Amino acid sequence: MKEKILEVRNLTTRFHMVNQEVTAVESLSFDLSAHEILAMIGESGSGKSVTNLSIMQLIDEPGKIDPESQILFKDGDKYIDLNKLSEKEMERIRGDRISMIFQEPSASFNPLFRLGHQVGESLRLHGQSTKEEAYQEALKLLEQVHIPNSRMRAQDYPFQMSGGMLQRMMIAQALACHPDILIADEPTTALDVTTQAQILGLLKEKQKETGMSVIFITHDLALVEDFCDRIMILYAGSLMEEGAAKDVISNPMHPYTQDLLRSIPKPGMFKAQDKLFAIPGKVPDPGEKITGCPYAKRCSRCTAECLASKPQIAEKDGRKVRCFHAYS
Amino acid sequence: MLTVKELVKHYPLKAGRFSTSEEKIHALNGVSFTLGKKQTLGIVGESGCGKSTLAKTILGIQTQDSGTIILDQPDTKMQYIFQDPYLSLDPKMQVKDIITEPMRAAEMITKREIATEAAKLLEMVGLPKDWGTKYPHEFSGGQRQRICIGRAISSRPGIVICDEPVSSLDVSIQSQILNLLLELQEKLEISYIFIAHNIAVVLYMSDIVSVMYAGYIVESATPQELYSNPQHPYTKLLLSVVPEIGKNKRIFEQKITGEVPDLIHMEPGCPFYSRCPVHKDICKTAVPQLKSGENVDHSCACWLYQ
Repeated sequence: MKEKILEVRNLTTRFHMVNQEVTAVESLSFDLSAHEILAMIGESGSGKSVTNLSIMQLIDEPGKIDPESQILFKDGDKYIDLNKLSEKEMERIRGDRISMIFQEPSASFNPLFRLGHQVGESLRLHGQSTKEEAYQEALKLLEQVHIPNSRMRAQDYPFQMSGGMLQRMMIAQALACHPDILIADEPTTALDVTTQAQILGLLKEKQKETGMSVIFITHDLALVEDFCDRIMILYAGSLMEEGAAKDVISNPMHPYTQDLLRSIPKPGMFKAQDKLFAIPGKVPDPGEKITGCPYAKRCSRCTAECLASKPQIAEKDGRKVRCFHAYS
Repeated sequence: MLTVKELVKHYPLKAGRFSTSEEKIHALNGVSFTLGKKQTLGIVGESGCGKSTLAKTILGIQTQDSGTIILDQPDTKMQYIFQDPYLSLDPKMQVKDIITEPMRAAEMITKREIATEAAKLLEMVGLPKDWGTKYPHEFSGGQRQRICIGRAISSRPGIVICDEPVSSLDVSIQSQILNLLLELQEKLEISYIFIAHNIAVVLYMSDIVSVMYAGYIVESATPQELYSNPQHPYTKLLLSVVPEIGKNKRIFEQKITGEVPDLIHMEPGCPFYSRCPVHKDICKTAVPQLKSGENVDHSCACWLYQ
C-alpha cells in the first residue's frame, strides 16, 4: 500500500445563490497516493474544478465548503485538515506544497510583468529567496521545462509567447517550490494536439523526476488511459466510477462511462460504415433537484429504483461504482 | 457545387495609419479544392493553419488577395455554423425570430409565417416545436447549437460551413449534434465544409479530408485512405499524436521537435521543413505542389513523392 498524501472525506461544496442553492460537489471521498497521477474526468457541472478549488481553499462567496468536509493533507508525519486552516496558514501550503496549472495559460499570467519574474514569484513569496536568487532559479526552471533560449525568453512578456510555450512557463512556475501535489486543470485543452503531446511528455517527465503526485483534470477520456494511474469519473457533482485507469477504460462498469466511451468518435470510424452512438438528453442544470441517480434520465438501464433514490458507492477489488445496475 | 482555386489571403500588419510596416500574416497561400453536391469536405489543422480564414473568405466575410471562388449555380446560398453557441445567438431575440432570420433576410417568408416556419425548423433540429417564444438563455449549450443549426438550414442553403461546431460542447452532447448534421445533410442534400481540429471527428464526418498547415493544403484524400495510408510527414505526425482509446499509444513519449512556423516571416521552401524528420535539400528552397499519384483522389504536397 502506497502512502497517502491526500485524503478527501465527504467533500461537499455548495453555492448559495439568491434564489437557489447549487450543490457543485456532493459528499466526495477519494485518496491520492504519493507519486500517483490521478485523473478526474467529467463534463461541465460535474464538479471536477470545484473539487480542486476546494482542496486549494479557493472557493469564494457565495460558495461554501461544508465545515464537516475533511481535506487531510500529509504534512511531514501528520495529517492536517486544509478545511480547518486559517487563510494565513493556507497561504503557506498553496503554491508551495500544492500548486496548480490552468487551462488557459495566457489568462493565468499578469500581462504587465516579465515572465522570468513571474515564474520566480512563488520562491519569493514563500520566503526562501531574494529577488535576484528567485530570478536565477527561474532561469534554471525554464531550462528544465525545455524552453529554448530560456535566458532571453525570461525577459519576454506573456503576449510574446505561443500557447505551448506559456504552458511550459506555467509548469515551471508551479514546480518552483517542489510541490507535493500538482493540480492540472485541463492543461492541454486549449492546445493543439502536437503541443498537447509535448506538454503531457513534460508533465510525465517532471512527475517522475520529482516524485510529486498529480491530479489531472480533463474531459478527454482518450488522454488518460496510459497517462494516468487511476481515473475518477464525475457526473453532476457525484463520483460515478473509480478504478485503475486501464481497468476503467477497458472494462467500464457504470453505464455513464460505457456510454461516454461509445459516443466518442474514434480515429478509424467513418460515417459510411459506423453509426455514432449518441447519449440522449443533456447534463443536469446546476441547481436542478435530483432525488435519484443523477444519470438516471439519460441511462438505458434506468429503472424506478434509480429515479427514487441515489445509489451508494459499491467497492470491490479496488473499483468503485455508484449504480444499481452496474456492468460487471 | 463549389470550386476554389489558388486562394491567397495575407493580412497586413499595419500598426496604424502612418505605419510603414510591409509585414503580412500569410494566412492562405494558394488553396484549391472542389466540393461536390451533398458532399462533406473536412478541413483539419492546428491553430493558425488558416482554416477559419478559408471559411471566412469563401463566405465573402473577407476578400481574398487573389484566387477564385466559383459556385456552379450562382444562386446557391451559403450559411455558417459557429463554434460557440453562447456567442452566436442574440440574447434579446426570441428563438423563433433567430431561427427564421435568414428566411426573412432572403424574403422567403412574411412576418406572419414566422411562428409556423419556426415550429417546423425547431422540430427538424430535435427541439420541441412550441419553444419558439423562449430566449437563448433558457437553453443548454447543445440545445443552442441546435438552434444555430436550425438557423443555418432555414434558408435552404446548398452549402453550410461548420467551423468547429462541436468543440465547445460537452462530450456527451457532441455525438448528438454530429448525428443531427448527418441526418439533415441526407434530408436536405446539403454540402458541408467541416472544419475542426479534432481529427477523429473530421475523419468520421467527411467524404474528403484536407489537411492544412501554415496556409497550405498539404494532403487531401478520403478519410479511410488518409487514416490507413497517410503520406505527408505532417499528416503522419498529426495521426501519431491523436489520443486513441485502447491503443496504448503513449503520445506523451512521442518526440516532437519545433513549433508551428512563423506566418509573418515565411521561409521560401516547404512550410513543414523545420519540423520534418525526412526533409531533403530541395525542401528548403521550393514549395512542393499538391499532386496526386496513382490514386487520383489522394494528393499530397511533399517532395518525397514528386
